[in-house]
Amino acid sequence: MTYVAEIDEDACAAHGDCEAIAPEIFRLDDVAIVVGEGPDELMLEAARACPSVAISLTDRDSGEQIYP
Amino acid sequence: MRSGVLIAGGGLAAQRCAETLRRSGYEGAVTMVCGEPHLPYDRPPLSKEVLHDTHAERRLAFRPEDWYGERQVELLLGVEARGLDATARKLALSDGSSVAYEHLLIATGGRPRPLPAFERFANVSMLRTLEDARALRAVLTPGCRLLIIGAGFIGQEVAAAACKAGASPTIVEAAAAPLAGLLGAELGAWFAELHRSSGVELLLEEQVERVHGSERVASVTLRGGRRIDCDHVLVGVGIEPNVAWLRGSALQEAGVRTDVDGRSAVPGVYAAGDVAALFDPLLGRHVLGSHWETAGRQGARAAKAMLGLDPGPGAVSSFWSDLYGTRVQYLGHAPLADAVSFDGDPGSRDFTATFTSAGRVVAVLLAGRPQLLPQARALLATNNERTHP
Repeated sequence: MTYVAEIDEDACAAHGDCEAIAPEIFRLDDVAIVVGEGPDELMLEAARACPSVAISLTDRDSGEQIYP
Repeated sequence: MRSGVLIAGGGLAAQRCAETLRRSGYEGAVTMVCGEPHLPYDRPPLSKEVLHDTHAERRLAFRPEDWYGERQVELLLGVEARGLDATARKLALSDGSSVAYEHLLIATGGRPRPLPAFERFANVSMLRTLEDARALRAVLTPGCRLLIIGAGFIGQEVAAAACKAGASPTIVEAAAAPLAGLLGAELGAWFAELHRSSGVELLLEEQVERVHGSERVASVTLRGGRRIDCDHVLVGVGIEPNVAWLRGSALQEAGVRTDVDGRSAVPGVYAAGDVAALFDPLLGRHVLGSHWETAGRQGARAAKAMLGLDPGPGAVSSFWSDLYGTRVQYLGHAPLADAVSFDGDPGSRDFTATFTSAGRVVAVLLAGRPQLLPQARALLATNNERTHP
């Protein structure tokens, strides 16, 4: 669990795919918000599923941007 | 009854309007008049997973029922708007009641355009509501020969879903390629190949000349002479705005014309989503209807306009689709373009098509490259700023 998720609120259109895939990490308020942590693979799956590409992932150890 | 904000409609634009009102601190009464008997729900899955997965419909509701109670958003389910008295600021409803409002959002959506030749038959579907999707899912069994009229978004997505359900779809389309009017011949051909390589029969520049059958369509003859047998027909030839109930009011009947923020010509009346024709400053004209993301943003903008808040810059027109495992995303206005260039192989499922007008980027289509969307969005936003400071 080294990825950190961030939501671009302007880009988020509240599709809700992230919450459907990883409800323990993402929750749909008026836009999606990060509510917890979870396996890196699950975060990546949720980020990739976002039709608005509003989720970015950064590796907390290396600082490297993982997605998009 | 009286509501500070009255929302006629229960779709995406209506939902986003209610959410934005509460999020912005609006404390007046908010009422949503939802024509369907369901909690407000999301439609895109109806032409996708709902057609081949019976569990998918559980995830359709935008919000659980509690959400509306907690935020004091009153839902009138199964009730439709029937008439507008703009002078008295009252909306008549199908249950015989009427509601007074300070602000009204017209978000009554659209309905599929019927084809007269198919209207009297039992095995013909159109797709807009959850009930429509359930009925179509019930017939999409392995081996079902599904004839799809129209290769627009509905036709294409139903074809892909029908394949997943084991059915055999045939699409008949009048144009030379799917979406050719929007995206041009080259990309239209790409969409055509996407379907054909997945086993869908796609008949282009064809139209139905005759329909055979008594109570059910048994087959059709195309203008080119070919006869196609079918078990079921889906008509997907676009939608019409739900404006019949506005007859007699001052609002235009071919969609409710509004400014960029959703304000109509009638004081206190706004419109958003498929029923609205918003003014597009980039095109210099009103544009009827919108895709998912735009409809949602229109509902949110109308809420801000009602409250006198800055609605921010208008959303760029966009859509996305998942076809046979390939995500397709589009932003902008391709018909404005005089040239299109490709990064990556346009014969593959991994490329970017950039549409330009006099060298300026006016639209971008991404195939299998979702990670490039933020970049494309930024590129278009920069271009729009340059044109419309």
